[in-house]
Amino acid sequence: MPDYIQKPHQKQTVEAIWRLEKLILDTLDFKDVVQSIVDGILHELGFLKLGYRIVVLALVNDEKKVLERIAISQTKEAVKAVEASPMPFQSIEIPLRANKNLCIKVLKNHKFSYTESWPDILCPPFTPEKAKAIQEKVGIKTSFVCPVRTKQKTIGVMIFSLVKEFSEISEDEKELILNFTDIVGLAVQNAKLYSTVEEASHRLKKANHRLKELDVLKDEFVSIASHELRTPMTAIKSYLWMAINKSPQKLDPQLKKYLDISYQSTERLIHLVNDMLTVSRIERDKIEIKKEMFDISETLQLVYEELKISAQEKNIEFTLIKDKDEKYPVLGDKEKLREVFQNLVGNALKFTPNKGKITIAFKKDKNGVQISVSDTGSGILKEDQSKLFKKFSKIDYSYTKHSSQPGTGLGLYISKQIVSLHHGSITVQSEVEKGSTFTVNLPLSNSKGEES
Amino acid sequence: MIDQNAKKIIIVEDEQYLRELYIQILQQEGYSVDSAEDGDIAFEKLSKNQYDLVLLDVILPKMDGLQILEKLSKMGDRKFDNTVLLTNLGQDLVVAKALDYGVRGYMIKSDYTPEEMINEVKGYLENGEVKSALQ
Repeated sequence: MPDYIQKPHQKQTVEAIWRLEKLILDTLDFKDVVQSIVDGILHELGFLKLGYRIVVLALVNDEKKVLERIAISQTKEAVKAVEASPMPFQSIEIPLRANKNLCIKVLKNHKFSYTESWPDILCPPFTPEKAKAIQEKVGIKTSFVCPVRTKQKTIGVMIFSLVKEFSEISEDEKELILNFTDIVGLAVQNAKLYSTVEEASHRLKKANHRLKELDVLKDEFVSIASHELRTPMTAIKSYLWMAINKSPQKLDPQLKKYLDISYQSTERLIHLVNDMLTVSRIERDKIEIKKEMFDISETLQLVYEELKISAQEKNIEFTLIKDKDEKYPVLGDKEKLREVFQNLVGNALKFTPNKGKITIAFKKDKNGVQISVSDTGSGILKEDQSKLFKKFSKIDYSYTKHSSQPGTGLGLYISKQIVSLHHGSITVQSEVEKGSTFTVNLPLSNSKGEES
Repeated sequence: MIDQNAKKIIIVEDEQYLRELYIQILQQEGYSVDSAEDGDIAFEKLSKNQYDLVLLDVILPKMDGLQILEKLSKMGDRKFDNTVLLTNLGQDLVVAKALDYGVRGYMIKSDYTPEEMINEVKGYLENGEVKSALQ
């Protein structure tokens, strides 16, 4: 077994270095690390007793092409020096091209050096007179400059200023200082890396926060805009209704037609604003889905009764096929699901020509219930089918052009979202000129109100 | 001619055209109709007078609908079961808050034709009668 630790004082020193390394490497915040570096050697390693008074860490700033002061030890000599300095400590920058400056020399030669004259390490930016004056005031005899290295390059220097002559520095001290400055490079690099990550994550947090704020603003905007739009639209709608329905004179048929169209268009506009509000709610997860048990076939029955008259007007054969004894319990929002089916049947009515057929049918399977709305309408091209459920999708199929009441382009998007919120799905099968079938799959609920 | 037994309704609505229309159609139905065009007037009338039905807009000059409800509720043990929000707001939060005060319900103005509006009002007033008959 080789005896690595020969002398007792060396053992203590190695332990001290370990402690210091651990302290520095465990610290991640850049400011804390550099402060521990300059203070540690004086206090942890007891160099204060050996006549070391000021320790400075300076690092290269590649952008500014200067060596800048980063940290200074918290000793009374250091305080004196900083007070006597004509500029703040952090502003002391040595241009990298100042080749006569000892710090720059050490940086470039990668080898330690020393001086007994502060103008060597402080000019520029200081004048030789000023540098000398400060040195005398603080009472420093020697400054020892060591390179701070990472694996690839020298990134800065450490300056140790002593109240003793260079010849009084022992070999052990020198070795220890050099060992120590070797880990400083690594610690500084780690800390810088950490600070960069910290800063980036801080910026991300800020950006994220801002996005959230914008989201709220968007929501507020949609809310306010819709309120402002709906107010005059209510007046237009109401007065047109009065003109059509409560006119003291019998309306001229042509005039009535104009008013009817205006009224319908206003309704469409109101519908559009309502749909946009719904979309905004869905996208902010603000839509509220009530959870109540009800029979979905009763909802379809209501939709059927409601739209029967429109079907009759177009001579459409409109049927609801349902086994009377069968129950279809669903846990969800009755009103919103009714809107989904109103939308689907409404679309079917819109796109099915006179004397066509619309059928609503139910089918139970292991996943729940399938409710299909089939029509003999114009049908949808295969390539258009996937666009159907997207926002503002309007398919250019021939019948749309003839339709007097084009939709908002949001109905199917909203329907799909609402069905999804009920853990269901909505699909379409269609053939041009033959017709379309929209199928909604919904999970059925057991008597305990759980989805089975 | 206003019937002495006519139900009293107050419309709190800042939009002149809508206010005038609602007053007109409700009066035609034989109701005794009062109105307020801003929050201050509304608060004053509501704190002094009794109404069978209060149609309360939310966004109002001077004091909004929710502030009116809050101020009134601070004045004492007051129920808002004669109050219905009449709004074009799409903010569920505001509506939810109002419902917390115990208002009967809310109507999105743009969703109603004048006729549907009258039917809704009748519904609220009739339900009120049923309720008072039971008590």
